[in-house]
Amino acid sequence: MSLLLAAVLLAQVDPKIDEFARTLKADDELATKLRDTLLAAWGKPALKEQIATIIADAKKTARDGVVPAYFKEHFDDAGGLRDASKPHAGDLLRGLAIYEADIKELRAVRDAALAKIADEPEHNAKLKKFLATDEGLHLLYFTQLRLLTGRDEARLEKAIMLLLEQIVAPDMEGRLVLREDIKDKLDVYLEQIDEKVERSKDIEAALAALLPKLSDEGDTGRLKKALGKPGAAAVIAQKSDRDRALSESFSEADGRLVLREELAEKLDAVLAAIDEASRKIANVKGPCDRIGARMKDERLRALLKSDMVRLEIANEVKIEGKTVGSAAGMAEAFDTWQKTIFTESDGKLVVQDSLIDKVRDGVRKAQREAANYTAPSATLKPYADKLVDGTLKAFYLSLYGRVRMTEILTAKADAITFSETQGLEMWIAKHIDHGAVREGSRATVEALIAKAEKIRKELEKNDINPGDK
Amino acid sequence: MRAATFALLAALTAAAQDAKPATIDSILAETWYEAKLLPQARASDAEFLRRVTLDLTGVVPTEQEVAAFLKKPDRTAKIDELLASPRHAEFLANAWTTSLYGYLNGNDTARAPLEFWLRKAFADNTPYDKVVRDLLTGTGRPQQSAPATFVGRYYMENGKPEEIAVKVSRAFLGIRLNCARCHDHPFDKWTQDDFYQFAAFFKGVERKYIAQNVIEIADSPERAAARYYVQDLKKAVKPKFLSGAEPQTAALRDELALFVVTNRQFARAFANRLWYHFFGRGLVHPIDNFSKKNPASVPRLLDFLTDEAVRLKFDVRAMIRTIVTSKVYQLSSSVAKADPLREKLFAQSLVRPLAPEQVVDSIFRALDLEAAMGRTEMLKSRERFIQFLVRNQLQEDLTSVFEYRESIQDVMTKMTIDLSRARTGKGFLASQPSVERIYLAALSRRPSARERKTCDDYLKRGGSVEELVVTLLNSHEFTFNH
Repeated sequence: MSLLLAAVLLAQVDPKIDEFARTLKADDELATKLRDTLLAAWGKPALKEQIATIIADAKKTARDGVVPAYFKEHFDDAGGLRDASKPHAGDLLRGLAIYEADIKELRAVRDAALAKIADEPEHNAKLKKFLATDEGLHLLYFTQLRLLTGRDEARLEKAIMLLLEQIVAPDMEGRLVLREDIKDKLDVYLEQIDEKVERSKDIEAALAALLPKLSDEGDTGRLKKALGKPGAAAVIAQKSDRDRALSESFSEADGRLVLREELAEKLDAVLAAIDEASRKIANVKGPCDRIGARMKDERLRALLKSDMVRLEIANEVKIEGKTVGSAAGMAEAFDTWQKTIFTESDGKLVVQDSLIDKVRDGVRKAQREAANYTAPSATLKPYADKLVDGTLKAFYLSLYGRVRMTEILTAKADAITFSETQGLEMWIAKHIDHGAVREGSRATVEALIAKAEKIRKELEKNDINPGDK
Repeated sequence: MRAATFALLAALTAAAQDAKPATIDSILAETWYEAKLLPQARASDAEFLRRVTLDLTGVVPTEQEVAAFLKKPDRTAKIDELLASPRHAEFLANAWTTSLYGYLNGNDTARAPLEFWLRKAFADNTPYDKVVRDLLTGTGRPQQSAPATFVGRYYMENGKPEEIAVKVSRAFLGIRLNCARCHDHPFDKWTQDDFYQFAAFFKGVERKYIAQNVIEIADSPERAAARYYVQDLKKAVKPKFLSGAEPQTAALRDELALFVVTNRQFARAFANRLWYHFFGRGLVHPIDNFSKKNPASVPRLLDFLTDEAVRLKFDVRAMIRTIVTSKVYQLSSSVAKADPLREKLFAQSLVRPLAPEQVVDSIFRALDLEAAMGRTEMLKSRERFIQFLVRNQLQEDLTSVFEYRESIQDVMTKMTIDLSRARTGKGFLASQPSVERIYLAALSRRPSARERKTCDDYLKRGGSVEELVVTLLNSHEFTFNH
């Protein structure tokens, strides 16, 4: 929906106004006047002003209806889940399960860290106290750590879409197509991407042939396991000489291939790189699948399915300056966060000097916001109470449900954008009937014509020649 | 002889006035006659070809093009061929983007989408007034809706509309309204009120921050209706155009665009900017400084071109054709010594430094590196060299500057040597060119007998073709348009 609207946004309204003006009836005096006005340059701002008002009203009405529209879309009148919404409900419940596991893991890590955080000075103690609360734990999870682990698919999808908007634009049907305005630059860029993807595929094929020959023992076994992960070929393809190195990395022993001894010291780094890559690829899979489904061009859809491209996207996309999904789990994410805030002194964790003011303000602000992370949503409750499915009802009433639904509903509300062209259509529907001005709209149209006439008079002040005094 | 020529010029001028409507040539002939100036001779075919190819497509002609043109020098046909070529739209778009946007990406916008959009506009020959209306009213995310780049680039996050007002006045009206920002203009009629009333047309612009480096430009009816309080004036200011025209609706930018493009000063500034592109000097110069203190050097010609712009409905290609097919454009630049009056009245062609893109593209073409390097690598090198060439001007506002004004010899030397040495196995140098071909490729002309002998002697003594090419590419003759 949002993409369709964005497409219309790009359409220019002036030619549409001309097109509409020519359909106005010649035997209706007011319609004829309106036609002449709109075909003149000075008529357009007058109409656009009225269009802007119509759009503002429509936007408000649509935004007010986001919550009921959501429940109507997914549930029938008796509170039963619609068949078409089963995948959506599945996504929500999977998210809930991940959240519950994450929070359990985070609580344990947090408790261990609390014991190490110093009680002095005061700002340290305040941060420690806040972190010890359930609100603090949830705030940290939802605003920081979820991003680091790539769980925050809502923000991730939005960020990926923004990244891809550099190369694609929605067409009039809302499908994403390559941007025409930078076509020659994109041709060069896509050629480079195609080359990389092809290269990655060659390596995948080479790996498929190689893996059965590798020994399952020791370092070779560890590497074999890693090379079977998605992203292994992409990691190798990123370094131009690695595919050649691949065939030269093994020697034969007892009929199986084993890693050459001199390469063993590099193994850990390679395994870490593959592990990170496959994690990143997994993080962007969902958003890439959803965005890919909107691509009109088969070539782009295929590219978005490629591990190589997904890895490039994951490396490129940043939210608030952070690489999404850089941490493997809650323990690692917490550790990363902890290192950015604290420093160790006498075995205790203290807030870094440069961050003292930020932490003071941050704790104050977080305490104010904490309420959002303690109670389920009052807006959702009346709808959730009517649902038949107890599990889903529990989801909508859970803390996670509140946060996730805020993301979903905010995205829907943000997507409600009306273009000037749509505004024009609404204006026409409201004021014009079969080429004639509706009886109840005469005053509006007369006001428009009067304003246009005033603009025309202003245009008579024609020359600002700076040479005159 | 000189007296006889003047008499002839006078007779021609009178005859032209009696018989035909004014043209660029007739107006300037009359001007020269009054100033007792003799115009320079007609440029040679080689001189003309190099100039017109650089001015219309931003690059020197290939050696084959030079040879073909010298064989059949049909100037009008060549002009039409160049005007129809894709490079023409590319080059104009590049030059105008630099003028409207500058080189460096900034303020959460990027230069490329605007340049591509302008390229399409020039290729489609979209009327200039339409282009400017789109730029002034652009909405959406700049990366997708290119016209919004212009307002996004200058409209600041703090909601202050002053920067965009300064840019619009300079770029589209040729007026330095910024001088009235802090006080009434010392030399012109513009007051501080004029400046802020003009800026107030942008008060309804909403610059939404979507994400890092992503913004959206929109018009907010609430902001348009809100007070625009100016601290310096200690009062709220309402939008009012410099002509005194006041908006009648909340569609402020639409009305401003209308006030701008229907004003005669807009046509005047457009005509002057085009003239500057082809002559290296505006009739009003600098081109963004129309002022009572800075009158046009040939007012009648400026009036004529302004009328033409209106008559032709801002048809860019037709305007350019009018200028480059004139005899004045085709005068020679060879003069014994500089004469400011002759330059001011365009009695000769002005020698002007090339723009950075012209330098880089011409070196690539002279060395025939495009085919040798492949497009991708060429584009990468091109961008790197241009950034290197303009390094001191990267941050500057280039509203009124087209050609490259700083010393480029050191950069040129490095660049040509790097490129020629790196590519000796490919391109032009690999073809073991003769002295004549080297001159055609590098300087778009054949060598004189003396030059030919000097070069032949140098090569016979064991000198390298590569060094010879590098020397020519570093000569003033190559780095200037003449």
